[in-house]
Amino acid sequence: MKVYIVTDLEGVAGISQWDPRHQGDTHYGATLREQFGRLLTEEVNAAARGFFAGGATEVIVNDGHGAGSTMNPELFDPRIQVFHGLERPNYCTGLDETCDALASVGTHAKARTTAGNLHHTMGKSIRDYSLNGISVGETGYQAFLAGYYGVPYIFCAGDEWAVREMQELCPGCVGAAVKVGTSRLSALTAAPERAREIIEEGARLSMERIGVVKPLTLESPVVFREVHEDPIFDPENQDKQPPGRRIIDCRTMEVEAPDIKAMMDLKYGFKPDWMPIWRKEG
Amino acid sequence: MRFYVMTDIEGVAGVCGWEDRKDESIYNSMRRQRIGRLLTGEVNAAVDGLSAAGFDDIIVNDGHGAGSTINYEQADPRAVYFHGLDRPFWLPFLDETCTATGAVGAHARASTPDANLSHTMSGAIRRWTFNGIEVGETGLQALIAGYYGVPFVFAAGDVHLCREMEALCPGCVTVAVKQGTSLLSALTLAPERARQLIREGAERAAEAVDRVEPLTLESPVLFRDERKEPTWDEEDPGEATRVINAHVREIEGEDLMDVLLKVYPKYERDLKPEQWRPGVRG
Repeated sequence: MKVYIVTDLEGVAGISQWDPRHQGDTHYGATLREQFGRLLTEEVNAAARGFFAGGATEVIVNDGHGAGSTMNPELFDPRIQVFHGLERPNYCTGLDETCDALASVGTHAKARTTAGNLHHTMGKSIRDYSLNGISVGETGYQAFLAGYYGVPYIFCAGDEWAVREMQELCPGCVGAAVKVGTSRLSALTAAPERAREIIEEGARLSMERIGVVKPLTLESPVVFREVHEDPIFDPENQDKQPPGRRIIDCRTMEVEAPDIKAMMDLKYGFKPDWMPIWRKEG
Repeated sequence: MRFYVMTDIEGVAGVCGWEDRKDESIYNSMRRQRIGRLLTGEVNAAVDGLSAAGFDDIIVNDGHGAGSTINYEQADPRAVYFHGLDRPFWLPFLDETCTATGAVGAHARASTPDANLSHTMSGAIRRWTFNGIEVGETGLQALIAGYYGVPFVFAAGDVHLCREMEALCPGCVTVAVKQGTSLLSALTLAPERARQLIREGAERAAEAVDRVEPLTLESPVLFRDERKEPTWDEEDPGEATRVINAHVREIEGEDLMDVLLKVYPKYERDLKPEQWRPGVRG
């Protein structure tokens, strides 16, 4: 049983502010980034313990936040493998039909979830993402990609608001709510130690939901829509758009493709037939 | 029984980006300290495995970048360490007195698709061959060892480097601690797991000493040095150099050492360093 975990920072217990990586070079900021990395890594380790206890034999972790290496390798549970770094070859590398479940740790709510702590979707400028008219945040977006491979989303650790969002999208998935957002920059949090207990227990329990939670599916063609808070697109540039991409209005653009994988390859410019060495070598 | 270990940083588990020695931010200095610890953990694992296999004289070359990346506060007391700048040769002390050689933290040669942090010496080089044999840094180490009749028996690093060395030195033991997915991303083992495998692999490398042939070259040796950018000037080729085109030059010599001394005139031929070991005198 192989579980794929996507991690983020904003839904980790004990963190209520944005990653300080753009706030200039101070000793306090650097120490805080290190601490955030530890808080995240220990939540991931707790999830991994739960998944292994629940029957997982392999746990692949996607270090998904920001610059792609937020987790602290010195603390990794020896059983996990972590995908990290920049200039990634595709979206959620390693998430494919060989996985049995998708999970997320450090999950935050989607943009415009008013009380969601550090709520956003990808960048702070985005108002909404949708797939065939279904509004999604980052984790929903990933759950639909997993669904393309027939993989169910079974476990969400993070803000209460993110848990609700994912339980609505993927009924039957287990949530581990480690904090509840009270505004964008405030939250009531569990102590990290307690958060890790909840995550371990929830992750273990969620293994029973494999086969129960239905993988998300989308009809073909898949239409992805991105709406921005500010007017950034020029409708007069419509002719210059690559095939499959269209500008709807000054805040909205769409990408259309036969399926979500093809849509993501198109949107991000990934090579559609790229395959990691572990698949090539079997 | 003497073993020579070359080390580098780019093939260490948990490292997926370039070390930036110019970024003087506090956060970067913390990251640099961390990658030093990650490297040292892997070197110690190799020293432990080699010692268990009966190697009682282990020389470690702190080979990355500024030549002092290993954290000596953590270093295993059973090895001696060559470190620092202004080196008399790239791999001093690797000579006919060694039983075998290997590499820890090794990365694939330049231009290897999907390999994490692949390069050869510097970012400028596209491809190096000696008598048509394509090598990266670790391949060159195997050639230098071969010049002295010493087999290359052990490599730990990116899976792409492992495949490279298995092809160059059939029978050598390799430990893939990560799988490169692009230049700046990889799926890594947890450092603790990587160390367990390195320890195991290094111990098994002793068995490879008798089966691996030293990598040797016929005389004369033709070195082909291909650069990514136009670099060489046909009108001013420099000493001992034949300019093939703006990207490619060739240097020929009697043997490998003759060629290397033409490439790096500051090095001394067949350096015979004192066989010093620490100890109480008198």
